[in-house]
Amino acid sequence: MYFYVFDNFLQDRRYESDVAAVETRLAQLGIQGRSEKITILKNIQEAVTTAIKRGATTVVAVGNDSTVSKVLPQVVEHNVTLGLIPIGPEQTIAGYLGIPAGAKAAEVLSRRVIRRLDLGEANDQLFLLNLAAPAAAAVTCDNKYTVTSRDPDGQLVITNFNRGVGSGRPDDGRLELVVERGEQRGWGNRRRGFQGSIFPFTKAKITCTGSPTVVLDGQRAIKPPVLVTVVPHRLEVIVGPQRSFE
Amino acid sequence: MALFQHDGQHDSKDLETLIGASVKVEGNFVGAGDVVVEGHVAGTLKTSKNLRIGPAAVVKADIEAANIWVAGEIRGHVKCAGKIELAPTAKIFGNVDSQSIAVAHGAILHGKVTMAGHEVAEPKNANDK
Repeated sequence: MYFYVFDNFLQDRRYESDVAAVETRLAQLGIQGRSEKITILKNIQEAVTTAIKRGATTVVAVGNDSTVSKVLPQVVEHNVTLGLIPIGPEQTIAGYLGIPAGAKAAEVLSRRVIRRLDLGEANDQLFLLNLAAPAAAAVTCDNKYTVTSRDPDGQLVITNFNRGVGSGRPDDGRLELVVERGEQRGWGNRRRGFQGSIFPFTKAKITCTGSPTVVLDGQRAIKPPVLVTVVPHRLEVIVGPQRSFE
Repeated sequence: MALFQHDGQHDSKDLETLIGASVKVEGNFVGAGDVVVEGHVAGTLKTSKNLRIGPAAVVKADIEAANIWVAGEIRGHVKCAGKIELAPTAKIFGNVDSQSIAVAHGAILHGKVTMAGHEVAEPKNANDK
């Protein structure tokens, strides 16, 4: 059974027609299932947990990257399938999974092509997309070698998905440390060719002097030291034909 | 071998590790895919595939790889299962073990070169005569 959880920000009037189009298309395809629209008075994690206890086997996050990040712990804990209907800005995850925006995503859901993806775990918190750390951090990979950036304007990103260079995949049982140069952050500069660094690993420790934070999936901040491990093939997710991996 | 195209781009699908110019790596690095070094490495550096040492790279490490292309500086023992190629800007301060070697005009090589695959064959030929 499908459970659709509509994120709080979709209450905004500008998303009214998108939400209505999604609901209509789900009904046309016969996969409407149960749904809940999150408001400021409802907790999204509680709504998902309750739905799973009532028999939901697929949780569909209707919203954006933030929505996925919020439902991810419950989906993984209860071993159910994750689906995504992208509405609104910040759709990096949908892009990697090859899921089109709005009502077209319903067709991807109905085809139900499923892949098992790795997840990252940072100090017991799961992430699907990435972990961002400041350039001042040092990352020790697989207890063998330590990577530091000599560019104070750069950024260290631990990523599950391939960022356009290298051979990494979200189902290869590894994560990648990507060290981006300060002058390369931004799309215009990316096109000139990647000049940063890539290190695949299964376990890493992030240390940093001072009191900076690292950010998981662009949503949650935690303080170093951070132990990062890969959790292979932990997430079952519905993917589209335009996904960034096989 | 896309890794050894000398155009400064790293588009090889086999590329696993890229140590960029802005990065320093210390410790024992072991890779299983192609590795490109444009930055600083100290310790040991091993891969079962190809290794490219870019012109700005400074490697103070013992190295092992299947094939190696060098345009930067290496201080350490280099062990190559296949071919090592030294570009005009290459500097190696250390011994080199390799099946075959190509040295461009201008490259600097301070060390003993051992062609491991050929050592065994020569004495046998001498005994046959």
